[in-house]
Amino acid sequence: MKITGITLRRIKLPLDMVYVSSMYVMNDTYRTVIELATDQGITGIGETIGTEECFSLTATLAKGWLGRDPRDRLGLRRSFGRSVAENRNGRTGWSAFAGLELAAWDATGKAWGLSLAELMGGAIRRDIEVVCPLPATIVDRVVSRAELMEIFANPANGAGVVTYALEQRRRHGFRCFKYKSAAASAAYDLAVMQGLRDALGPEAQLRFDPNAAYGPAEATALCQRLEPLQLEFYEDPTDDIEGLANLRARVGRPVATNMCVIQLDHLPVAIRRGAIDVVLADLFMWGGISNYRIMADVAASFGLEVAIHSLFETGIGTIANLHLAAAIPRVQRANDSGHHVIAADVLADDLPIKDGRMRLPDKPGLGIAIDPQRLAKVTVKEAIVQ
Amino acid sequence: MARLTHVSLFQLPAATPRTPRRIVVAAHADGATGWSICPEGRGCWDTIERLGARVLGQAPSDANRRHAALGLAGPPLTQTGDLTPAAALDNAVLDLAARLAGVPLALWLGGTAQPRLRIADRVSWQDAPGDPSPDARIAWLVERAGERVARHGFGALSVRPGKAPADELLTLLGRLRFTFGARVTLRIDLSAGYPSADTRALAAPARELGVDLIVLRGRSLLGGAVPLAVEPDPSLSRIMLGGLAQAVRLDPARHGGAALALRLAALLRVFQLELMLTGTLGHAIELALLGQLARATPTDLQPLDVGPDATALAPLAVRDGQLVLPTGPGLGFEIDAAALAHGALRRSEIRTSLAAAS
Repeated sequence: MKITGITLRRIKLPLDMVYVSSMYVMNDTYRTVIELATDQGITGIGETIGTEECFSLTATLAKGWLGRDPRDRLGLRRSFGRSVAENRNGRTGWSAFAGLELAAWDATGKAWGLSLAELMGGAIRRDIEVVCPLPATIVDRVVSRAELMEIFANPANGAGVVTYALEQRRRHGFRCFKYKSAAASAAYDLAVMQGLRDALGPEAQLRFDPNAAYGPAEATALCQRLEPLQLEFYEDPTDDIEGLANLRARVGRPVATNMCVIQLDHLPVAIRRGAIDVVLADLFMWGGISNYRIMADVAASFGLEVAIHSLFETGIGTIANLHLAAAIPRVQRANDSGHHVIAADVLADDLPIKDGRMRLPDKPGLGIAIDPQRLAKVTVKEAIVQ
Repeated sequence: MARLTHVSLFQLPAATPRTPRRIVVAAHADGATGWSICPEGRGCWDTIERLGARVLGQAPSDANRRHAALGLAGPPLTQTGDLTPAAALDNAVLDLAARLAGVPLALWLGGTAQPRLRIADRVSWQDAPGDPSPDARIAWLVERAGERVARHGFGALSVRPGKAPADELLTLLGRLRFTFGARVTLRIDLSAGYPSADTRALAAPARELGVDLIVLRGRSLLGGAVPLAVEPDPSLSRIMLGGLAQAVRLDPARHGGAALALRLAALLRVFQLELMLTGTLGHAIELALLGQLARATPTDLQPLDVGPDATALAPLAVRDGQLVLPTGPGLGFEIDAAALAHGALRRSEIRTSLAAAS
């Protein structure tokens, strides 16, 4: 089987909310959708992050894939490692590779009549619990940081987040929630987390994620004050492996990261330093399924947990994450997922969330189909490599 | 989807008087057959029969379920007991899965991480004629190594001294280094019970002679004088964290099979250790598995260490010091089941799954 052409589309997806965190204030997001055509008539589907830089790099990489066998994923990875400088200490290169690799996995699964989970060793679960993301505050338009500071100055303003969480639970049955702190006010964050615990009850799993924006001392003090709330974990409460290690030594609840341990060579340092409990790993930032599986084996061998990170993927990335969760035994916690917040997806079928869970498809490959009209509607840029 | 219908076992004689008998395992589904081979240890035959009954009815691609049934689930190094029977079954089913997909096993495992498969030749003290003096024995081994390097292009030699005294071993190493210079790398395999006092005495002179790797069974006594290869055991995680070895030697037939080997290789890749794949059974099935596994291993590899003579295992071949794999599905070539059955000392067939029996 040979790759005959690769089509990339940069798409802009509107969100059903204004997403406010310490890193973003946004009501839309960009992704790159990949369609990999082969000489056997099979098309592999992939996705990755949608920055201009990643889109451009993916197109460059794709040129080197023409004529190659998509089933030879290790061969494709080998050539990537040698030819692209961006694969070192930067997410963009690995994300570009991950999107193409996902399309190669999809094509392989379709060629062999196996789902992605089966290709990875078989599904050990089919209903995957997902996490509801909660913005730092509820606003009806994209506002400036200065306006946000006024909101965060009054802890009572966090009540809207609690109301939003209850509404999401009513609609989708969520049991797990991730609060995106803006790291603007510890008092505000404490009030929101206390409000969430009070409203959602002790059975709800609550994650706290300020995107490493608190300094080490403030983060440690804040997490210590959050301890009675029995959060599921603190996600990147502060920055760097050293910072996380120092904080972890002073708190009882687990520490997770998606920002400080983000590629394979970070693992030995983090393990030696005892920095984290959970590798909250993003499929794309970690460089695709093959890297992800290596990471999961290392994590399992040294007693770390693995959980699946997400930002706002289309249904393609969301389903890829379900396959990972289904086939990697070390993944025990709920998947991050922002899919239900996306106002316009590109798949032919909707992806319902029932009782806080999504169902793994069982068709070959990813088990999904793109709706060309939906895709066309959100496409802002296209590159055809052939 | 194809399901495992039955498993066949064939007992073969040993390849050499010093090696154990062998068991060939055949896993069948949908008219296709996957193959593996393992050494026959105590209770191995019965255990394969028992474990085989557990995996009947499963899809060959369903590795997670199979590994749970075989005791191979969980992180590498956490599995306990003798993993040989489980490895034999898992390797056979892996071959079967690749054959059902119509692709070489390496492609089934992910593709070509290693385009070139370097293979070492063995220089074994025990291969030399028994009677001659130590000098004559050394001369015979060096001459034989020279012929084989010239004919097959080996770029690496694995020296197996048995219980040869340290001074004789050092003489052999010196002659080999003199004969081949830097174009051949030298490894010493001291894993077969070499006396620890002699092992310590060897370290400094071995470094002087440019020995590239010393293979030990347990943890290092040598203080980092020469790069070391160790075998997988529960202390390996400490060895990795402490940077105490350069390589890990792994026999997939004994250490849980190719799938578990790939998972261990993931650890080695992250901790920047090499993997040294080895086999001892003198059979093309073993060599083909090692080659396919090596091709799909995404960590640095030491040259394969296969005995007793990897050049005599057609249809595989050694050219320019590289293992040449056949290109067919699975292990790459068809096995003559009738000939295998004809030469077998014992046969068995497992057709009833434990689930069906209960």
